[in-house]
Amino acid sequence: MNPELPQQELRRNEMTAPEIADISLDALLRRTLQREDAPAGFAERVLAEATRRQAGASSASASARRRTFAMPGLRFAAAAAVLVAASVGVRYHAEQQERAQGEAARNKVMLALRITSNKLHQVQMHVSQMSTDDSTN
Amino acid sequence: MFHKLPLKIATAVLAATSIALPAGAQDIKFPVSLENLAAKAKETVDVTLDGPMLKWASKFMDKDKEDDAEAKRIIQNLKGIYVRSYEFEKEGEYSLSVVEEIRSQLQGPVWQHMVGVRSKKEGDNADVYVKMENGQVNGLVVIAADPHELTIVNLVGLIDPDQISGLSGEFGIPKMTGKPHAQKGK
Amino acid sequence: MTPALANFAKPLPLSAAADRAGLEFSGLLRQHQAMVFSIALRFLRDRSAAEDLAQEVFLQLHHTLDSLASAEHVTFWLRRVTSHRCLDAVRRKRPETVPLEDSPEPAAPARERDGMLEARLWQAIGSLPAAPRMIVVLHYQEELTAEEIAQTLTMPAATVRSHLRRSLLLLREKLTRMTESKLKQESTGGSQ
Repeated sequence: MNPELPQQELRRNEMTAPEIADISLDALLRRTLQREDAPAGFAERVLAEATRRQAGASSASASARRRTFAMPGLRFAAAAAVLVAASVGVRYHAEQQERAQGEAARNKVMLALRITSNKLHQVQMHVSQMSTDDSTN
Repeated sequence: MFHKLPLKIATAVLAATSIALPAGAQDIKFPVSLENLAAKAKETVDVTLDGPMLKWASKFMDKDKEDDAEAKRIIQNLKGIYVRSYEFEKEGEYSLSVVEEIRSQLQGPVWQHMVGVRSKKEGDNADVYVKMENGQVNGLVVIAADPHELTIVNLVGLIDPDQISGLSGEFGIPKMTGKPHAQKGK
Repeated sequence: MTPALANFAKPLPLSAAADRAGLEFSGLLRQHQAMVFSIALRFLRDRSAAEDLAQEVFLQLHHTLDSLASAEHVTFWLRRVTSHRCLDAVRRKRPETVPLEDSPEPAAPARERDGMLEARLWQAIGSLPAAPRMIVVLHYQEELTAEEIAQTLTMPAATVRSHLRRSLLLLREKLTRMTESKLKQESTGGSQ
């Protein structure tokens, strides 16, 4: 994870610009971008929030269920809905196939736009680099 | 079941159209020598989407997702998107004549060379062309050629000028603010 | 389909349901909190925003856990969701880049033991545009390959490699320039 660094990096605070060019930027990046521990109590806060949200969601859905099934006749309606759902099962499969084709087309569009975006961005980076060079020369 | 039939036919027609007319509304013709690069490339991206296919794809974009909503807005007036991108293991696996062949198709009066970049240091070349018709931008071609990668993009159809700068601002990438005609060796 | 397109639409891996039993939320939270928090911190450069974002990621995981099939899948999912949430957060706050000279000092200093050079590198990383910045974080913090980053960010591997190449060039250049101007300032200040 953190390879041994060259001796010259140990005195990095005293280094001049030409020296920087010689050090391994790779090693420096690895060291600068090491993982850091989450703040103290982070896990406990998340667990508490997850429990709170879950409790809120389940009490809301339980009361909705109670209200719904307390109404006479709705049980039959629910059973009928299950039958209808089963009858459209085959149709569902065909729709899934069409959806998959549509999703593939969408993914192609997104890929194409990402590539276009990336290339335009690279041109932009070059142009701004040239402007910087011009202003420094 | 019956009501599904038109959709199925439409899907089949769309698929057939995209196979039979790969260069349908395309502004530029990709030379065979470009398409042949797929055999040498380590990685290839080949996107050919004509108008009907774009419309079909837009139905599957989620308006609540930012990227999808932006993409939908960008493609709504487009008649086609054509991308070829090849990444090579080693330098020099493609000839610059392929690029010249494409550039030569962009010499007409409707094409304006917006930006050209020549970097001797990194060996990168990039050009952005727009197609101007009746005072409107009716197409965009990007040619990006570096020693390991060659990418050609052709967006066909009406493009809002804001979208050209905006496009480089989408998908997590900042907006393009480069000066036009910044052609220069480095 | 080409490798890039395959990356773009790759289905998430599925494995035996037995794996699922091993995926206990609090254990996963403790195991991955440093990873998720650090990706957010390195990218957003704001400790409190990073903590909020990491919390939302884990709450989403809590909600989604049943659909994740293996430990590897959870790690992939966490990196992916964290990265996308970070990019979305920056996108909502556009314009996101400022000239390096004007960029503020990081809200969260890298680490107290960090030297000046690391602090400058930290500042230079912060000046990179969003996508390349996330790629640098994923490559150097998480030690992901270009292909793994491509899957995480849903972009072609070639794009990842090209961002990484350019970012390194830019970082080296900026670091040199920053150090030179600092030295110049010091020598001017010292001679007065």
